[in-house]
Amino acid sequence: MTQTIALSASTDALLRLLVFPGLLFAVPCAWFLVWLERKAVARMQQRIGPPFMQPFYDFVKLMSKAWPRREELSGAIMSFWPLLAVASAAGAVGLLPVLPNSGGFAGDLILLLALLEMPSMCLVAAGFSSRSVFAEIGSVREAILSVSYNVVFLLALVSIAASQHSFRIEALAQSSASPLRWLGVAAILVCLPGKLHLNPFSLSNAEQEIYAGPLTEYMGPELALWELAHGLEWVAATGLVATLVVPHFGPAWLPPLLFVAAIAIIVLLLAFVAAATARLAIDTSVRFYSRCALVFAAIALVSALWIGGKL
Amino acid sequence: MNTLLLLIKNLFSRPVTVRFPAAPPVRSGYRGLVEYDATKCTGCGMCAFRCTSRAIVFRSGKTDFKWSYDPAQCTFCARCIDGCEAGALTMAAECPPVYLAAGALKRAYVTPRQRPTPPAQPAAPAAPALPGTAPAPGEAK
Repeated sequence: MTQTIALSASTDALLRLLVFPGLLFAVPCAWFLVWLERKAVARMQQRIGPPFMQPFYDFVKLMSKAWPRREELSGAIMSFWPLLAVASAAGAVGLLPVLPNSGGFAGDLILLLALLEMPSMCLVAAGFSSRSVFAEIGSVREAILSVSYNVVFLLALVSIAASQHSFRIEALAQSSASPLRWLGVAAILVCLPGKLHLNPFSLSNAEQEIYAGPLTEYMGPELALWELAHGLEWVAATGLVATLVVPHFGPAWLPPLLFVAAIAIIVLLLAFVAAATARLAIDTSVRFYSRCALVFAAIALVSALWIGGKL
Repeated sequence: MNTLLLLIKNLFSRPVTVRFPAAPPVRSGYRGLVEYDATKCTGCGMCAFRCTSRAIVFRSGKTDFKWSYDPAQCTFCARCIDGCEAGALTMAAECPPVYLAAGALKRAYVTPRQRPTPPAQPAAPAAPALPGTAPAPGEAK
């Protein structure tokens, strides 16, 4: 009996990782979000923007190129980072409770946060592995920015979790929305441009200054994997916000539709911010997160602990 | 606030760019592909000399000369047009066509070198009129 339950749980976990909301769902969704962001920014700049299938074409084209040949150990390490980034981002998407009663476990929010942070850490490591000056500058910027926004991001999520007394994502998704949760969600939304390398916090891949930043030395299939990891990051990060915002109700087919609609709205919002702002320098970015948004998240955390103590 | 209003207005207005492979209309004086008229070319090679991007290559022979042009290298600066005194070079007033193979728009012309026409022989000077003789008919006095 116990073995049957364990087998069922592992099969369920595998299905979530590989099928829904894992790779089979997340990869087309990632391409869709990348297209939506590019299209929205283009339309706001009065350009026609890319066709719908462009992210897919880009991926296929890059994958069809020759795999870069690097003979030394540093080359193998360079090839390892995009694979790890894709695996982490796919795992993060797989943890999202898109379907109601989709399982999960106590503390999966912590795992989700760790997996969400892995692509960023891989990016930093990849930049230093490639030994390009531009990549190293990009990695330094990404590392500094990551430390800045993650304080706010983690505080906001901890405040939401503390108010609900649970670190299980499904429990957070099913609990009723409160003003405190909206405060936390707003703080997370402020962090998303930094996490997704969008304007005004796109300084780690500032193409006019440092080419592609940490990805300057990457090409072909490795670059395709990086692009895929970035798309999956989009799904995971916006999906986390959608999970906290969209309640689970109605028939089984409704929550996934609402999930996709919510992440599309969040992407449009981020695209609007990206089109309306210019890139900030590193000191201004860090100051923004340390002064403005940190206060924002700290209020949410103190309120959560206070409300939690009263209840 | 103006930026936000502009973005919203752009979102619902017609885009100024067009979908590939459609080409946008161009204004007069547009610098398109360099067009070569072999009948006017004198083979001086000045265009190749002025071409800093090496898009135009000129090979001179005894009986003919070869003029070749690679649009992929052209920066459309129009210095070749300015330097062509014979007026053999012009620029197309339309966007370059879409091409899928490398070097598809590359062109080369071999033009036979025309034998320079000898200058007209001046008429033999008339013998100086001897004093006392009548001037030739039509000669100014």
